[in-house]
Amino acid sequence: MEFAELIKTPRVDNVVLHRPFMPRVEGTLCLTGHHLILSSRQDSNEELWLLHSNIDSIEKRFVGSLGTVIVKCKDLRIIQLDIPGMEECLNIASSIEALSTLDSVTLMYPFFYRPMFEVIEDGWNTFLPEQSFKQIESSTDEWRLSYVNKDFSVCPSYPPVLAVPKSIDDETIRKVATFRHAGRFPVLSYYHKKNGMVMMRSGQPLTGSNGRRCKEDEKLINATLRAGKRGYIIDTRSINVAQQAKARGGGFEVEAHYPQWRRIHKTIERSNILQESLIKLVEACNDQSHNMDRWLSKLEASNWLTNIKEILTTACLAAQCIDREGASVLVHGTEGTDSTLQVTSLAQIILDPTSRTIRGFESLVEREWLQAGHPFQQRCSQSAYSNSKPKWEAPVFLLFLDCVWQILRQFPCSFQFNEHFLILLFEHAYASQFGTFLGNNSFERRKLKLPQKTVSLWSWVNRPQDTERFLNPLFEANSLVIWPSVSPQSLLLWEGVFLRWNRSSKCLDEAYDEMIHIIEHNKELQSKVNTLRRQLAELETEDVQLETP
Amino acid sequence: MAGFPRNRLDSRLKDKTYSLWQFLLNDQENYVNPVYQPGFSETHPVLEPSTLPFSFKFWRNMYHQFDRSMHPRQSVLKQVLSLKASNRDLEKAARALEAKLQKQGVFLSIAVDSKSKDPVHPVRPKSLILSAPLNCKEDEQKLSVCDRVRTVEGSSSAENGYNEEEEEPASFTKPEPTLVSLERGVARMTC
Repeated sequence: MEFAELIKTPRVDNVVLHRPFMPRVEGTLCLTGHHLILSSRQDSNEELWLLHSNIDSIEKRFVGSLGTVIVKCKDLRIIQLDIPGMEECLNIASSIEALSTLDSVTLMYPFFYRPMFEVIEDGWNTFLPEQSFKQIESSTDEWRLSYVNKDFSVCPSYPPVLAVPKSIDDETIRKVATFRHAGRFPVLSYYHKKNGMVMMRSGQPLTGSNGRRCKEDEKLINATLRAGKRGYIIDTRSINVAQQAKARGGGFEVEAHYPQWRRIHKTIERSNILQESLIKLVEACNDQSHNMDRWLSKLEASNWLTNIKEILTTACLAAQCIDREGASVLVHGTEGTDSTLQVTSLAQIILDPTSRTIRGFESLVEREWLQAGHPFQQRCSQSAYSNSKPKWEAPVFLLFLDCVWQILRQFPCSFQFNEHFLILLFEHAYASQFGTFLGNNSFERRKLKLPQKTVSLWSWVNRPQDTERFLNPLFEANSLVIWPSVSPQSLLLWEGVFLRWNRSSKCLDEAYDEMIHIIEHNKELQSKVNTLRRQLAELETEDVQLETP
Repeated sequence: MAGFPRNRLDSRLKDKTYSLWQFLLNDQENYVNPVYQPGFSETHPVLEPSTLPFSFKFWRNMYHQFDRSMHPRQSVLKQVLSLKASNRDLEKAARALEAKLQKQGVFLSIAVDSKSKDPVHPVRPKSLILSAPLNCKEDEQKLSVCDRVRTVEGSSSAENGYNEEEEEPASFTKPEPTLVSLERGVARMTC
């Protein structure tokens, strides 16, 4: 497959580019196998490089012989290209459409990208399961690493190395995997050092309408309970939905078989509903009618903030069970790849201060999303502007990032990273030159040889000169559990993502820069005062020395 | 009070009552915007607020003033205001220290800007003894003044009732850094 075959017209001159809040640029448009490039050839600032994989859909319009192509991107940006000549315009449009809808992963840009920087720390090896397990090993000996899934035969969507209770052997695990949806047996998600309680996640139990049971499954999760203590099972589906799942072979844990566990049902929306919610929200944000009622009713109809609230509430509930009630928790939905991961990762943001550092957050995303088998390839293949009917697409990861942002807003001094870091992750999940978010699970990533053939996002972000702009100047490390407010008045629309291209942030940026200046100045003054004190102290002690006989 | 200037004159409010403005002016520090710079009036002489519907926000601090648990638990505003006050105090301290050093016959210019980070060496030869430990107490006392309650958001940490949340034994919490007052609350759960 040659990219050249898909490019009908590789180059057009005198194209005018319109971008939100930037002056229009006239230049030459080029199409390569992976990028749409517009360059005015005069100033390096006036260059646009757009990955085809970042394009959701395009629209064509004609006024006489002047064609306009409107490009709608997955990062919610909309750009406009005025192309002289009808034939050129049509060729460009169809080329872009072909290049942005390529099916095969191996044709994606990460396989062709050669970094301009030196890879000092390889992000593919920075967050291996063995390393994160060392943290747990130092606090408790109740868990062990199992390699039962090392060839992905027990569970294709799990990583090859997993933490399981020490008392449970591999044979038991194999049996449990047959009782859980897609083989996703309960695994350790988080160990709470403060009281030794744990959070686990899994797929739904395959109880079915016959009320099947699996003694090994019961044994596995009971192994995490302290003598005489209860645990909580948080099912992210309402009781009705969970009941309906029985008819399809799924279900929930029956009280009779799990007497020591109390089951709580929440109502986090299914993936397909979430995609609709995103589409409606973005449409509301783009509404140019200047009508307050329309804006508010469209915003409400999207239900986006309701979804945020539901997810945050469930995460707070899980965290409360662990920290306040001192009980272990098992979280699952249906597949255990979407709402489950939102809950477990957000609960860790609440409970664990290390998740609020940059490295800690990257480790969290690696463990609870990438290695845990969230199907990024499927979920992020289309965003809000797609013309085709959504099949597997859903903004599950974006909702998670939005929830993190809500907590970040409520605790602005408790996070080492700032909003830009979260926005970066959102962008790269949908389209990237890095291979981190390609594939749906560890098995696929290994098959595609991603660690060998692509560069990891972490390799770039963790370079000190690149980490700097993601640091939060107000960060003061603390070791507390932080409890966000979930009242509707506390939850806000994430302007940094949803209104980024609809309103200019120039004045807000100036205020932010001024704030950084005050903070930096404070650090410099502190250091100056300390230096002066030291010198004064030196001189005073010397004086004393000279005076003594 | 009083609808028209005439009414104000008639009821002699000036003699019988206190003016609100004086009260507010005396308390100015609590109402100041820390990122305000007079220089911005050159770059933005006329403010052009956006009137797109999504630009309008619910004024939660006003309409839910007393719902403590609804507001962000750590206030950026308080933090920046106390840093600005701390900057003023530090500048004073630096000047005092420089004066003392000058009296001792030491002339130095420690520029606090990004250009020169290394302090100029004092004229006297460097002492062979290790430098005396810094006496931080004085600094801390000065800086803790900045932690005083800001009433910009209409609340004080005492009023918030967060003390009732401090039931955690001391061993689980690190001592809070001087300039940050960290407040915690409970999420509203129902299950």
